[in-house]
Amino acid sequence: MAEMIIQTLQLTRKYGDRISVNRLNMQVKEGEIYGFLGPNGAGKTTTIRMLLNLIKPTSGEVRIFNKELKQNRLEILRQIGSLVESPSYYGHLTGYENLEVIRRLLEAPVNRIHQVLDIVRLTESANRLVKEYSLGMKQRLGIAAALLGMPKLLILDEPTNGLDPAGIQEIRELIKNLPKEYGMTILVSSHLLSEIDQMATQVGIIHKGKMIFQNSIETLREQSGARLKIVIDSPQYAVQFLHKQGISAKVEDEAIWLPQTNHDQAADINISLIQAGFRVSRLEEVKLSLEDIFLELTGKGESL
Amino acid sequence: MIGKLLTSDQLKMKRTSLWLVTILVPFVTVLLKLAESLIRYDYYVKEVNKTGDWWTTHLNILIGIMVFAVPVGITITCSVIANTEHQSKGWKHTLALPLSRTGVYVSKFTWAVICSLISALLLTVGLALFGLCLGAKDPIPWIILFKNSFGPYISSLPIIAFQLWLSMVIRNQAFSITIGTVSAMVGLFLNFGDFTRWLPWAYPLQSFAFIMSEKGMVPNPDLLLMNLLGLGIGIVLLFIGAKDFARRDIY
Repeated sequence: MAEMIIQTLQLTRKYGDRISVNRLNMQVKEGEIYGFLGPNGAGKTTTIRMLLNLIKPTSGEVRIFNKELKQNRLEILRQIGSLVESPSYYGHLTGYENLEVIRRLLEAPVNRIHQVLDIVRLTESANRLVKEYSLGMKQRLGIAAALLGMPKLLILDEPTNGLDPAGIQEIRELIKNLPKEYGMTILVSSHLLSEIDQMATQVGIIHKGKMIFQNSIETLREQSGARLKIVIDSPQYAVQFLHKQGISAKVEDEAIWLPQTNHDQAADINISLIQAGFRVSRLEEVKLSLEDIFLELTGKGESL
Repeated sequence: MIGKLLTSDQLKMKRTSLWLVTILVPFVTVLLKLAESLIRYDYYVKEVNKTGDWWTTHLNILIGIMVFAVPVGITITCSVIANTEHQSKGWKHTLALPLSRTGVYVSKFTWAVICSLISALLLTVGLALFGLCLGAKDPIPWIILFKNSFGPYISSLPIIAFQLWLSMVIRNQAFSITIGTVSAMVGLFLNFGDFTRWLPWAYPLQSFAFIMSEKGMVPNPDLLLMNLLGLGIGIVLLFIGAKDFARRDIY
């Protein structure tokens, strides 16, 4: 069984009367890319700040690498790289100097700067002032800074926020490769399901401060409830015909829908419909999109 | 711990206006004094003839400039140091690194002190040059110039501690700069009250090498006392500020 990297126990943070994070039990295992998903204002950043000990929980506990965070702050932080919301950068310094500032604090070897610049492909722009960087480059510099200390755990809060599609793609590929190449565990937050869908192996969905789903991305997809859709002439008659055969089906949007999607069954149903003289024009498996599942979990009408 | 923080902070300060402020404050102070001495050249010739002491006679007005320049310089220095982090949104990143928060604070404070001491040193040298420019006949009184420049800065340690805390804790630097400038002026008046002269903002004015008395400029008997008070209270305030900073939530 993989080791638990992050574990929060009943983690709660209140701002006055408002509960920002409510009894959150997060579990991130070693080697996972954990997608931390939720609408804006759901409590993602507050949670992440508590994981980094930037703000203190009202109650509950954070355990990282199986140690209590408050008592072992320095030891734990030494193994974490982080990028919280917008990247921090000193605009009046070059990319290289920005990393050197952090390298001195971490007492990392000098050649590590070249390594991380190489990983995020900023080597060529290393000697330009960061205020001249594009947003994507700044974001990549932020990731380089997070990687500088060779962390075992990387915490990235909205790393693709504000990037163009090419930039998003680039960061995504970068993140996907890190666990494979460097054995890191990654927590990445986003308010975009499609983002998490393409990167994460585990998903935690937070809504109004509460964890409403936490499992593998496959489990989330399984909840998609695949159905068989048959487009056919005179669907009403076809449904009656199927009912007589003992097959449950219903009409929706000028097509008939069956709960089972087994290949053989689909073929059999197709044959019997055709033999009965119906004209079947389409036979397809339809899944709820993750977006639909997400909306179902968080309640309708919440924007992503 | 503190060593790596200091070298890291040093690099952060590169290309900021911190160095400009550090140099500009003593430079402008000496320049103002030079202008004043040139404008009232005849007065000073007469005055020096009367007192027979070129340097002390000239230091009189200088004190009036410095008593304002020192705290305002400190205010801006602290503001630039803190603002480098505010502007870069660097706090959340710096403080997510494996560093002692108290150490982070002490490092910033140390740089504010270093810059103040550099200013004091430049002022000492600048005044010596000023004397040479105006053709002072007496030899340069290094000890007096040294005391006169470093004295007010050392006594301002509580002001450094307070201004740094303000600038670190409140993002908007207009606030700390306003407080720093206003309190520099208030400090002049605090000096006249028997009780209020013991408040830290009154220390700079009581920490020059000379004070005005009925007999003209006489050596300041309180200089050492004020320096020690400044050091003591400054360190206490540094400690309180650091503790407060360490327990704050970072956004």
